[in-house]
Amino acid sequence: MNDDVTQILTAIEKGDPHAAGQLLPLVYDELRRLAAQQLAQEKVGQTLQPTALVHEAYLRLVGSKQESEPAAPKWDGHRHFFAAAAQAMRHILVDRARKRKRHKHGGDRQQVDLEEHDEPVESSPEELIALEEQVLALDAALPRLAEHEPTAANVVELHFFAGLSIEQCAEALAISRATAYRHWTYARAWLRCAMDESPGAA
Amino acid sequence: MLAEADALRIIFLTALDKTAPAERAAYLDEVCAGNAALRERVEALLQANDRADPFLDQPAAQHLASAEKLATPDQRPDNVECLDFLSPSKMPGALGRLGHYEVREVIGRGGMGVVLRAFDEKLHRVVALKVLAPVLASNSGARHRFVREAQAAAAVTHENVIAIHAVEDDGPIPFLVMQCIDGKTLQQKLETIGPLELRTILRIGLQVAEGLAAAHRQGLIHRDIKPANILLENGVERVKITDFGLARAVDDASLTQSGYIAGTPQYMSPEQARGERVDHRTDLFSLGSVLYTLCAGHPPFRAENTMAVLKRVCEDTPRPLREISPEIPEWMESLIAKLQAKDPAERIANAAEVAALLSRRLAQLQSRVEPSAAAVPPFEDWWRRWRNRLAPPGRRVPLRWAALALVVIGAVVAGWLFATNWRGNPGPANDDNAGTQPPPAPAAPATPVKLTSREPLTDHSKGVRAVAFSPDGKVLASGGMDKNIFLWDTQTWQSRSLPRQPGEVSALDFSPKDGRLASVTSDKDDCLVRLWNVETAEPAGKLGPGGISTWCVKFSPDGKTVACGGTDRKLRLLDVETGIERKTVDDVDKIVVRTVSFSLPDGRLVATGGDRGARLWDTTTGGEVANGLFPIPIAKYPVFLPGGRGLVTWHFRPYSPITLFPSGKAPYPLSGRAESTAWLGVSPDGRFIASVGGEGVAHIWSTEDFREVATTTNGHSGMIYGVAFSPDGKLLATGGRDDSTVRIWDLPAVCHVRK
Repeated sequence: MNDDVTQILTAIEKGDPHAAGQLLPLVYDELRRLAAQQLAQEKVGQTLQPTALVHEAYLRLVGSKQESEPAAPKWDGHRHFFAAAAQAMRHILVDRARKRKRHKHGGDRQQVDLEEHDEPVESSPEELIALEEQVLALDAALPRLAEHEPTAANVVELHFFAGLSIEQCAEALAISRATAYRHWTYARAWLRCAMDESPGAA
Repeated sequence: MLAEADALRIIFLTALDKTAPAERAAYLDEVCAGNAALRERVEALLQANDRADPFLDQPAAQHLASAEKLATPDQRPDNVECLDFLSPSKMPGALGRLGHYEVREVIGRGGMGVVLRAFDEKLHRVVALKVLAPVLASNSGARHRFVREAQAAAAVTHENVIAIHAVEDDGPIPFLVMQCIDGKTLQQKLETIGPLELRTILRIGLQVAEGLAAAHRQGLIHRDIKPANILLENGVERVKITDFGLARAVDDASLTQSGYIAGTPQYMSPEQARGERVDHRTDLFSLGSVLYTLCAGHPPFRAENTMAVLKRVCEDTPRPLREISPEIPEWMESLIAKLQAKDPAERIANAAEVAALLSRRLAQLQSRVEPSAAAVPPFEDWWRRWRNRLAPPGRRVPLRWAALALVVIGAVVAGWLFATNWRGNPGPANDDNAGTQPPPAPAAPATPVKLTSREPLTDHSKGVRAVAFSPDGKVLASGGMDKNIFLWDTQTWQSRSLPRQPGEVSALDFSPKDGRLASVTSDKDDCLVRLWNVETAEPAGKLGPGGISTWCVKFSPDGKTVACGGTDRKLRLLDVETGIERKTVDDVDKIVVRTVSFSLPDGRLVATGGDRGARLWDTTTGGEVANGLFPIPIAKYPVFLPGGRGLVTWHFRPYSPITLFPSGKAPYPLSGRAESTAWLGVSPDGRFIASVGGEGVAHIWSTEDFREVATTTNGHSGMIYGVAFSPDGKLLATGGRDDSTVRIWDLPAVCHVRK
């Protein structure tokens, strides 16, 4: 799997338009696996920082080539990876929320992803519903932000979805730290307003 | 479309850089003048920016984890299950009850349990409850430590330490009752804006050090000073340290159980990391690491995992700060390095000393002249020179040589006062004792009297921009951004409302002749000035052409003329009865004419204020008096004092003084105050002025001996925009731009108008 991802990344960097599409499912799977694993660990009482999730996925999929030295992620060189990871994370969250909504409205159960184990949906706590509304509202608002502020939208993807720090985002996007901070500050406020205006677009 | 989006972003980010609320408001007033929709969008963004956002401020992975947890109730970990200890509540929307607390929402989760926002039904106040996680509550050691540390922390009362109201240990699960603070943690602030400005760092560091000093005096060690445990109260720059001794009290328990260190070790001291005995100096090391983080934008010791971080804390010297950011001064770098000494004995001895050092540096920084005013010689120099000699009046002076210009304008104003009627007026201001400071008025107290607000008047739904008392003192009018004008009966404080205005109300003034009220709006209106019959609350006339955003309005002393100005950058003098424009002066300002003031009692001059600075005009000729002599960096907005007492100027920018031009005396700058001045009110007899602004406090100054006689204490949160004295000098009214309230303050006897 490691080799797959490295090959895909190389292809993306060479400009292969299909490569990004191939990367996404791999990253998606890895993230889901890690998230599940993390949950299991938490039950035992150990905590893996959720922010580390994408980094962990990176290390597993890309970074562990030379075993002598644990590779630190290269934010600039592998921005495609993180862009894919961000998208994957977004898909995972949005899919979850949509699915649950369908369940709640008595919708088509067959459309449910098979890899998802059946969950007791009737007892969704209000907090979860609120969280899902937010996820859907963000998903609806982000493309609108991207229309006029593409870089700010990139920062949101890398920072919020992929969990990169703002500094890492700056490196990945080849912009200055200060600019990255300003983009994030603006995007955060803009999205907050947009999400308040149209909650839970489904 | 694209251009508009760009404008929105640029205006928002520029406004954000202006941290002083008054300065920010002034900037927005300027750039959004006449475009209420844009203004609304920017304000919405600014508000959203200030709010902690539990959704966007956490990475998506965190939400995924929460969602997984929440979605599988049979496997829910303790931090969700722990709400089961609540008993059911009858209140709609409440999560449940805990004792006499009505729990409203979960505001945080930590290693030791959950933090809830709740309503204390006995004391009728909102509090925060910190509830120990059930798994820890069942461990008698952890429970005991939690209660003991909480009790110790409750003994600390200091404005920079979260107040613990009570420790409840009777029920199955112990919890603390704490002050509930609206605001973000320093961690959240760092994550959104990155490294902070030196001045902000010093302010935060100073308050943390003072809070620590108070706790250390009681023998209490925090043990977990980090940005996430430092709260920034909304609207004010007050810092509160939270979780005294608690986090580690519980962590110690989990450590002994599992050998696993919870939480972030990045701010730990080396002695803590090695598991040795610690004293108060461990907090000083952590404070050093916090300051480092605020300067650098990231913590000093970073590594892949907990163990590696701990190793670095114990062994490594962090990268020199000035390598990361050369603008950090050397003394700051070495102060932080001293706090981060590996050997506690080499650190600065105690928190009080750290506070003293930071406070000194902050004072130095604040006394420095701002770069944009750099061409202006320091005030002290100017003042000293002025006191020693009188400059020849009437000479034209280059603008940037502001000190001299001030002297000249002082002389011009003084000359006008001499020429008109100041000699005829009573009061100590008559003595022409330029060169010496006037004798202090005997009745004025030595230290400012602290005023407390009466019950706030809360009819406005948006910020209050203007307040004015009727000449008979029976009515207070208030106008707001909600487009409403309310008329308050000053006996009963019942309100009546005028018909809704077409835009945000920007200024109000009562006619001294017939008591009619004049109002203007900063949105484009169908006239410049509206007049109102106060008794019937009905329209009583419209003056001037429409389509101009108007910012200020003032009746002449004889009530026959109104002066107004706005975004058309003109000063207009309108006849109240006929509406005819008696005089119109073009190009008074570059952007907007923001203030107008008539000389009193003759009404011969009008002073205007705006971006181009304070200017003086002759009302009969429309010609400018003393063209360009007001130094812009110091005096932007002028107001005449009644009774020929002179003139006062102010400026929105922080550290800019209010300058008095008392009749026949030297101009006198009230100190370069850190907070910006948004507006000035003048007492009916001119003996006092009230300045209000960004800090949400009103200061009352004597124009005779320049001392601060009173200051408001509780009351507005955020900026005050409007201020007015009642005609008898007994009351002060203030309008809150951010909290939308009108507040009434009882002034000390010294301010009452003498019969």
